[in-house]
Amino acid sequence: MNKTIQSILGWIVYLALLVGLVWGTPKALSYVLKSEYPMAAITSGSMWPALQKGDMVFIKGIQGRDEFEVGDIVVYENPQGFTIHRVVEKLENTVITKGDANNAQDTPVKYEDIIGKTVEFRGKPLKIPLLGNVSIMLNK
Amino acid sequence: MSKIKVIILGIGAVAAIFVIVQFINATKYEMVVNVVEGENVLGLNPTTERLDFGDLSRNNGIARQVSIANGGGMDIFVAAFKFGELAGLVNLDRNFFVLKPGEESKLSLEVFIPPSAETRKYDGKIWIFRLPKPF
Repeated sequence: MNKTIQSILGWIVYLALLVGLVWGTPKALSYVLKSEYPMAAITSGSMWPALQKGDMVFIKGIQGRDEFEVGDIVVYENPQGFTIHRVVEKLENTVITKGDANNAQDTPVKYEDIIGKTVEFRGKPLKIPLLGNVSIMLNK
Repeated sequence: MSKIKVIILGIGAVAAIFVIVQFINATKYEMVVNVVEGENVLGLNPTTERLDFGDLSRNNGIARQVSIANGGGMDIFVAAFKFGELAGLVNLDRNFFVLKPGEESKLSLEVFIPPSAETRKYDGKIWIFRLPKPF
């Protein structure tokens, strides 16, 4: 009888930890990175080779225009959703961005549309390869 | 050892053997492309043992095809997986499809060199699995 109770308790603790991790990790990341969207999946090859399709990147929230520089990879909102491209120029009212693998620059982005920038580690974007494929598949 | 454990071990062993056989039977190709300076440079190297896309300059692309035939008497499910540095530059025209017995299909692999590529050799692998689909 004791063994059965121990086993059930073990499962409850295990499930609680699992739920805590699945629910809590994005919440904790959101708090630490000050971002509503702390993680994002790369859905195209426009930033190859820095970011590849299927990578999962971490997004740090941006409050003002001084929090990012030319060369940073930023996330901005547009009518199609979100785009993750590199800043090539900061103008007075808008920001010029471009995908590394694209030939053309994007339509200028308003400062208020930029919601964050990728977290970097040793000068490169911090990413988890392939994990973004899960998000891509779930959104299909 | 209880009967249940023996049954579970047996099922596990059969599943493990199935997975190992599928890995061994998968068609494995090496992919390679040499990125060179210039505009509209294209030099194809037609080898059969590997998917060599030859010399390509930036903003250029080329496609190569591989044939997949189902010579057995059962439907097969075809699934291709790309690995390596070149994987991000290669697009398949189709993936995860079924081939009926006696049917043959071509899988087209298209590589496109973006402006952000360096002038050097890029390589990768593609593994094509043919899984039996009894139902």
